[in-house]
Amino acid sequence: MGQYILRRLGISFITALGVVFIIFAAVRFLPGSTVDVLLQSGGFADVKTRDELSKALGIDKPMVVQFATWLGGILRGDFGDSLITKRPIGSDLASAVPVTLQLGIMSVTFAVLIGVPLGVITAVKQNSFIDYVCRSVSVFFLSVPGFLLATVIITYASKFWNWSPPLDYVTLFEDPVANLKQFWLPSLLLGLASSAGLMRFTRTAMLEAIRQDYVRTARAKGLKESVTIFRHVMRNAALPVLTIVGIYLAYVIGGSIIFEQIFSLPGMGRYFFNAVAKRDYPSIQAVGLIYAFFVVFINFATDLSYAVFDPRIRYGR
Amino acid sequence: MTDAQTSAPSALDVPMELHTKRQSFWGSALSLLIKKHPFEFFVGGGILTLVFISAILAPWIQVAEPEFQDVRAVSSPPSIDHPFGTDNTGRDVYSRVINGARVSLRVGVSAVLIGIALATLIGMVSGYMGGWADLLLQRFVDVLMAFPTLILILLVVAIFGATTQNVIFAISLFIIAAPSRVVRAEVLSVKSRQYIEAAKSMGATDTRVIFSHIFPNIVHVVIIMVSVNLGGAIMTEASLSFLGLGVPPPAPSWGNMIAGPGSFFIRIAPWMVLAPGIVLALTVYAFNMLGDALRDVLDPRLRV
Repeated sequence: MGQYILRRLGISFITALGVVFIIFAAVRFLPGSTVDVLLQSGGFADVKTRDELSKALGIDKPMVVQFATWLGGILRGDFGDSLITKRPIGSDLASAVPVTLQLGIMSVTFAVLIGVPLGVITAVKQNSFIDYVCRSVSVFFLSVPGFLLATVIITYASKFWNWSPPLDYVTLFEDPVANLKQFWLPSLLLGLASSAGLMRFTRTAMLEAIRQDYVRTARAKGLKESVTIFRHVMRNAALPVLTIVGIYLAYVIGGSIIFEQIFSLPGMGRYFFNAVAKRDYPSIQAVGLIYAFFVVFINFATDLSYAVFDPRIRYGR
Repeated sequence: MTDAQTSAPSALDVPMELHTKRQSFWGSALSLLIKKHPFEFFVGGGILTLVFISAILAPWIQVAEPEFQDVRAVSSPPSIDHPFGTDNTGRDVYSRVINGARVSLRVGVSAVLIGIALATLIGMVSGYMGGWADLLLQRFVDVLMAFPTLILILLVVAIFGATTQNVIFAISLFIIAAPSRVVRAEVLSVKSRQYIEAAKSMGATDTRVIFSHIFPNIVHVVIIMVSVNLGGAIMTEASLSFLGLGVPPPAPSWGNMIAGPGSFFIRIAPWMVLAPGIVLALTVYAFNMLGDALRDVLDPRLRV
């Protein structure tokens, strides 16, 4: 077990580094460079000015040297400064990461609250009318683009009820009520889209558990159906569902950029998007690094939770 | 459970119903699809047929050129001249929706076909060869998986520029990872079968074994992967359009039609956004429903 964890940890770390290096290399192939973005205000720029600026920014050195320097900084907890705003990226991220994390956690909570009960119901009432209705509705939410739904809701809410989502971001600790007022709608909309997948997954897990021998035994010895479902079926269906929740969290956080734009939440997605637009290399890399380590960590935790919670799975080698 | 026979299936188990009739695998899969999922088949299939036919016939059934701006009829509501109204620059929404179907379907279908083809190739080589090839390819897939959804696509489109081709390429890249794992797992279970051994003992090359013996036995999985990814790919193009990185205007795609006008126009002239929005949602809905039903019929292990 210990060896398994170490091996998985090693692989995860290498994977994350791979992602980071690809992003590092990729941003340097972006057409147009930071130098152009910065010099735009200055109008015509000769070669000398450009060279001086690249030197000052440290982007004139070979890529490998830049990568090593940058990675060294990260290990010392220094993400570097933004090339555009000159602010330290570390502090920018410290405010952006919690926004996205909160959005992600709240959406996944909504997705679980909606998707799991529906999955259980549709499995217990398999092939019934309820089953069909629930499945159709959930696939519908999977099929409407989130940004369309959000824009339509915002537009009509302001037209008919004069309500619009607050635009100035407040942190959860400053004012929890104002913060939640801002987060509930984007989280709900994001959650609805993921609830469809979660429902389908729960349904499959439940149906798989229902046809196991121990369930037949439970029924045969005359247990009430509710006890059979709650004690025997749900407990066994819970593990795969639990592990997929982590994967949804990674998925939601990677896709939150659109909702951050619509609801003007200053999260990682928006930060990344703006950094790409401005060719702000160190910022792109920093966000990419956090994303990569986050996803890799979730995958690792998912694998591990299988090994820990399910005694049937044993990892040797 | 009524279908207790299928409770302990192996990789190549076909549903019991498929054995009893004298029909080809695909023929009986189709009749099973109609029998078990009539709603998905007729409603989903009906929507898709309609969408595909109007996409094909677009140049003949349009009422105006999709990029023609009628300055006398800007943001006008649906009428006989303009069945879905006109948009904020006076372009006919109906004509743009059916021409947009061509663009959106082309983007969605080609992205999925490219993505799944690559995934199948990676999965087959990885599963069949094992060893170093497997290790390397799987680490590559790991890296692909570690890119959050939109981030990868966004970077690719930003690097290569937002053209239709690059959008297709970017979406297909993001499709590769998970299906390649599924194909690999399927290959692993197929490759130890006796007919593979027989083929090898007859001197078949690896390429031949992979393409004429393994591929036909995992093709149902590949088809499932194609069908369940189509809806998502069309949706992804729309999301990219929202970020300004989708199919570039003025060419109509459903994504840039929905994302283009902005909330001001949704308020005063909702049809210009709702028409492509509803058509897109219905199409994705049909793809998703049909994909689920197809998976249910073709993959006995997921039959529940």
